[in-house]
Formats: sequence, C-alpha cells, structure tokens
Amino acid sequence: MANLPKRIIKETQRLTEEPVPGINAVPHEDNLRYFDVSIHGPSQSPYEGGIFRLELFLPEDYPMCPPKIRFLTKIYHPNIDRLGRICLDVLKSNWSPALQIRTILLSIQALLGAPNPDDPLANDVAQKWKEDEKTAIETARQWTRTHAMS
Amino acid sequence: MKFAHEFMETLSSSAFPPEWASSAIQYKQLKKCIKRVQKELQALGLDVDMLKDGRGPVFEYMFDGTVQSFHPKLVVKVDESGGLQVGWGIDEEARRRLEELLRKLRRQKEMGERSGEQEEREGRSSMSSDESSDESVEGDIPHPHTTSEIEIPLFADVEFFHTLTSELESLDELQTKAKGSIETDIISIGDSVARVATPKTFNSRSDLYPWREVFRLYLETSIFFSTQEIESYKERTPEEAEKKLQVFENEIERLGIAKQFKCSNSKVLLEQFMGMNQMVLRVLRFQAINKVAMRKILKKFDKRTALGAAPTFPLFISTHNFLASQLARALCFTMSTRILSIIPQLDDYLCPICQYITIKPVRLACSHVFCVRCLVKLQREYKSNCPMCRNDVVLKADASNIDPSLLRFLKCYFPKECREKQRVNEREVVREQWMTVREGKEEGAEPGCAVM
Repeated sequence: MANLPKRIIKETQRLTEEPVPGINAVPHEDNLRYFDVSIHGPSQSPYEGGIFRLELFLPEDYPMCPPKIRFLTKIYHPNIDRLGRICLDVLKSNWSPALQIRTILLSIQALLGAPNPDDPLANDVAQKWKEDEKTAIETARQWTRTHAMS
Repeated sequence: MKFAHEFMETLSSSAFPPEWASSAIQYKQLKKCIKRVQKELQALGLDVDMLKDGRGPVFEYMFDGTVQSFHPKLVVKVDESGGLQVGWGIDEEARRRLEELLRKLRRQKEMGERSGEQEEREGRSSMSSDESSDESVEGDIPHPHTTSEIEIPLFADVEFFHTLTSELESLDELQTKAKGSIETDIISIGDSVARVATPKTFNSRSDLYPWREVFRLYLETSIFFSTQEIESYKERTPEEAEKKLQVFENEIERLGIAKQFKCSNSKVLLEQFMGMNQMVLRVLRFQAINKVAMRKILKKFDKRTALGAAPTFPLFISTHNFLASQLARALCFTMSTRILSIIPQLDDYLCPICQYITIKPVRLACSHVFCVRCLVKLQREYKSNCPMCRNDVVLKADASNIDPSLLRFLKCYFPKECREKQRVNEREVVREQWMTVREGKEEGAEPGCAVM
C-alpha cells in the first residue's frame, strides 16, 4: 500500500484524531483500504445499547466510486439483508466523491434510527415492519440484545 | 479563611500587573463587612436560624432598582394590626422583640414617608403575598389585602453590595483597558507579519512558509477554544488554555521554526505573538479568579446572614459587562481577522475530491471549486452532478471555467504545494497511459509502440 492516495491518508487521520461520537473505524495494518467499523445503535431506537460491527472497503477508484460496506453483526432492519448488505442511496446511485467515510457512516447510523420499510432490501422484514410495526420493533430489540450486546 | 489565602497567593504569584491586583475583589474587606451585617442583624434581634426559617412566608430579601443604582432590602410581612403572622414557629421572646422592632419602624415610616409612596408599596406587597400564599402551610393566613410589608433597614448590607458592585465596575474598566491594549498589539503584530510574510514574488526573503506553519499549529492547538464538534466548541478554562499554550510553544520549539526565518524581524515578531497570547491568558485567569472570589464571598454572606443572596445577586447583575463578557471570544476573533487571515491556509484551498491543492482550479456554475484533474475524471464517467450540491453542472464545464485569479493567487501563496500536485498529476497520467497501452496488448490489438 505504498501508493495510498493522500485523500485516504487524510480521512484515516481525521477519523482517529477527531472521531465521530458513537462511531469507530480502524484500518487493517496490512491493508489500509480495509476498515473495521463499529457503530453504536442510536438512542431511542430498537438498536439502542447495541454495538454493530461492519466492514468497509475502499475500492481502487475511491472516491470516484463509493466505499463497499456490509454489516457483520446480525441486525433486524428493513433496509439491511441477512448478508449485512445495506440499501442506502448514498452508497449507490447518490454517491458523491465529496462524501467521506465519516459522512457515510453517519448516514448508516441515521438509517438505524429511521428504518424505511417502503424501500426494502430485506423483504420479509419490511413486510413485518409494515404489517405490525410494534412486533417488528420488539424483534429488532430482541436481535440487538442477542447479537449486538456482548 | 482558606480561600482568602489562596486568592491572595494567586494574585501575587501570577505575574499580574500591580494595578490589577489592587483592582481585584477585596475579599478580606468584604468579609469584614459581612461581620458588620451579622452584627447589625443580631442587634435587631434577627438571628440566622430565624431568618432561615422565616424566609419566604415572613421575610423577603430582594434587590430593588437597576444594576446601576439598586439597594438590597429585607422586608417583613405583617398583618393589618402590625402583628406577625400567627403560627410561625419562633419562641415568644424573639417574637416580642421582633414585634417591638416592627412597631418602631412603622412609627418612623408613618412620620417620614409621603402617602403616595406608601400606597405603591402596599399595592405591590399584596401581589407578592398572593404568590407566596400557597407555599405557606398555615390555614389561617389573613387575606392578602390585609397584609403589608415593612422594610428593615440594614446599613452594612447596603455597604456590602455597593462595595462589591463598585469593585466589579473597576474590574470591568480594567478589563476593557487590557482588551484595548491587547487589540492594539494584535493589529501591530498583524501588520508586521504581513510585511515579512508576503510571497516570494514580492519579497525575496519571504517568511511565508514558516509563518504559515506557526499559524497552522496555532489554529490546530485551539488554545482558547475547542474547535471540535465533539467538545461543542466550548471555551477552555484558564488552566486548560495554559496547558494548550505550552503545547503550542513546545511544538514551535521542536520544529525549529525560529531557525527557518530569513527576516531578522520575524523572530522578534514571534516572541511578541507568544507574549500577546500569554497576556490574553493572564486576563482570563484574572477574570476567572475574581469570579470565584465573588461566588465565595456571596456564599459566605449567605451562611452568616441567611438572606439568600448567592442565588439571586448573580442573576440580578448578570448583564454586568465583567461577568457577561466573552473576552476570549472577542480577542480570538480580532486575532483571526487581523493576524491569522494574513496568511492563507492550505486547508481552505483543497479539492474536496483528491484533497490536494485545487490546481488548476475549475469553478463550476454553482461556484464550487475542484481541481481540473478530478473534474476531468468526473466528466469521463459522465457524472453530471456537482459533488457538493448535486446541481447538473459538471458536463457543462469547459476550459473557460478555470478561475484565472484564483490560479494566480494559489501559485503565488502555495508554490510548493502547486509543484507537488503537478508531480502527482504527471505520475497519474503516465500510469493511465501505460494502462491503456497494456490493455490494448491484452485485447490482442495491434501491439503499437509503447515509447511515448
């Protein structure tokens, strides 16, 4: 990783020096484009109290193309599927090269606080969310306790 | 006792100018004054416990008037016959004495007061007892309009608060003076730095780069304020600021910036800059210690008299300049407009995509600026939206969007950074060309000549 672009170096530096509250991102020593991420579930959401692990990879073309991000911790959320893939516009069609790792992770944290069952990735979860929101939220809370707190 | 000692120590040991120490809050003198208030209250037969119990239903203590001219007053609520409210738990002896005092005061009042003022006072009193009526546990409170208030004159009390406010005023004056002199320093240092740090084009012995480093470190250390969102940009305590200032000075020393100066004047200016920051720190420390002194003396006042001034007095004078002023904020603002802004910092001229200096700068129709190389990359991929604002402007940009005055400015103030960006661009172009040549080979097309 001799030719790490200045942009990535700077972003990594700022992430460690001025971390975003509730978000942690650390690059692998042997691959500085690969980050271990953890996001705290936002308060007053069914994910509150949970710490969710994610993996983040910056492809060769970054920042011309978006980072690849996936949840590693199991999570019950209408916009996140069982493989941890995330349905979020800024990670796909609405990506802009002026966005950064920190802004994207903030968007993901916000997504946890505001699930959007009308634009689902996990169809079964979204269905439940629409039919019986109360039970769905309870399930999400249950999953948070089982998988994201240890 | 302990604080009085600590206060004197701080005043004498912190290198404050002598005229400051003499303007500081006269803690000892105020303490003596409290004793006089205490004696005065005792002479009237009002002891601490009695005042503590009776505050609210029977006694009321307030600051009357405006900050410029006020007097503290203690009033007793009495019923129509001039007697105290029944059921208030004090012993007979104390009650008799108090009633005696009230009778005396009432006689004086009737003799000396004009009737108009009296009406006004009674009108107000009925309101205040209305408010307090539900706090009182007594069932047989007389009707509001039958009660009235009698003021108990306390001369030492008036003296105490007038001394305290006049001290605050002299502190305020001192602070205004110190602020003015620091501001003058800031402006003169700023003008001198501007001369030694003009770009090389105009000044062959330019100290542009070392001074930029000084100011970059200064901003980064954020001595008097936090610049981090996580700490919500709050003002630092003098102790924190002192530590930060030390960190800054050590860093300047470690990097050997003074040795990089080519102009002999720069070294002197750097010392002046440091001295000026030390001065700001001293003013802040002086302000902080005096605020503590005021808080402590009021607490002591309350402990000895039970009049309850500690919570109300600071509110009453909260608009006072000395307490309200955001000195550090004001001075840092002057510093950033008169000194720090003289030298442009690289952070303000970075391409939001590649994080190098925006050379050559392309200004899109939405007025966002990117380096020409990143813009070309966007166009190659037919991305039409501005990365900053998503306006449909990227594909419409052409050579005429290069901002010539910004280009000249960047070349003048950031020659090294411009050359660095140039080298990075060249390397990238070479790599791209090599990739196209290799891809051509792999696709089995005409090998072609790889020499360029």
